[in-house]
Amino acid sequence: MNSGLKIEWNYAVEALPFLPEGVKYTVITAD
Amino acid sequence: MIIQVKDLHKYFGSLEVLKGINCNIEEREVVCVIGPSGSGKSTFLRCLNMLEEITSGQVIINGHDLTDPKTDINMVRTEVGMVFQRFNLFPHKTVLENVMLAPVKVRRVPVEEARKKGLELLAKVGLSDKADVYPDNLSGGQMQRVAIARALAMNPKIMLFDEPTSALDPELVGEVLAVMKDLAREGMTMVVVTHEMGFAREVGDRVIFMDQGIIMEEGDPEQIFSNPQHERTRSFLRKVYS
Repeated sequence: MNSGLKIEWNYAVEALPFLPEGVKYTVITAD
Repeated sequence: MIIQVKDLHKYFGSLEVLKGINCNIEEREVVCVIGPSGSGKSTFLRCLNMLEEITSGQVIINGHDLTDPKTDINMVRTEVGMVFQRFNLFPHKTVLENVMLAPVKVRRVPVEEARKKGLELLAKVGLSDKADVYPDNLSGGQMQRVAIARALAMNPKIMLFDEPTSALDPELVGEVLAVMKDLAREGMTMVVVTHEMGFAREVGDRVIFMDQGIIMEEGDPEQIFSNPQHERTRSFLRKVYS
């Protein structure tokens, strides 16, 4: 089962710390 | 006063980085914070947006006390734009997507309206032709101008700049400073941590010299640069200009 790799764009999010939680993350799924 | 800082202390572990900062900043004022590395100036700036937890003291932004548990920090932050040394753009989004993101996701601005405003802001920072480019394909100066446009997209009342030109090649510094000068002329309230003494002298309404976690000296740029009162300020400026 592939749950994907969750990456938090911490450094980018610091500039927009008020973004909703869901926008702070992107998920890259690997085969 | 749009920014009030009262007896601000900040510890990292047992290290006291800010040792009781008091500072008031008026609307439309441009305040430049200078000082040696490790003096606490970036930590001070980050405390103004609660990117660092405040150990004790008060920071009041536009009437909202950030240290009051009842304050909605994120609501206050939407009115405070922040620009960093390392640009902090989202690398997987185009320039225009970076600029549109917060208005669409936070202010619920319709996409077409956000696009129009985004393109206007990119024109303002001289990057109309880069809207569909990814940040990796931009120069440092261009990336920083995108970061400024992105911060402006939320119509902030205050802009915080943390050494915005320190990571740039020397020939790219001017284009970023030019955008910042325009903002200052338009009346934006700005707090700028900088090593650009020329900018501080020319654009700042007030210069704050920090050293060892305190405001050692502050005043009119001419006075700070031409006739500093404190020996630490004199010694710092001698090193900068030597």
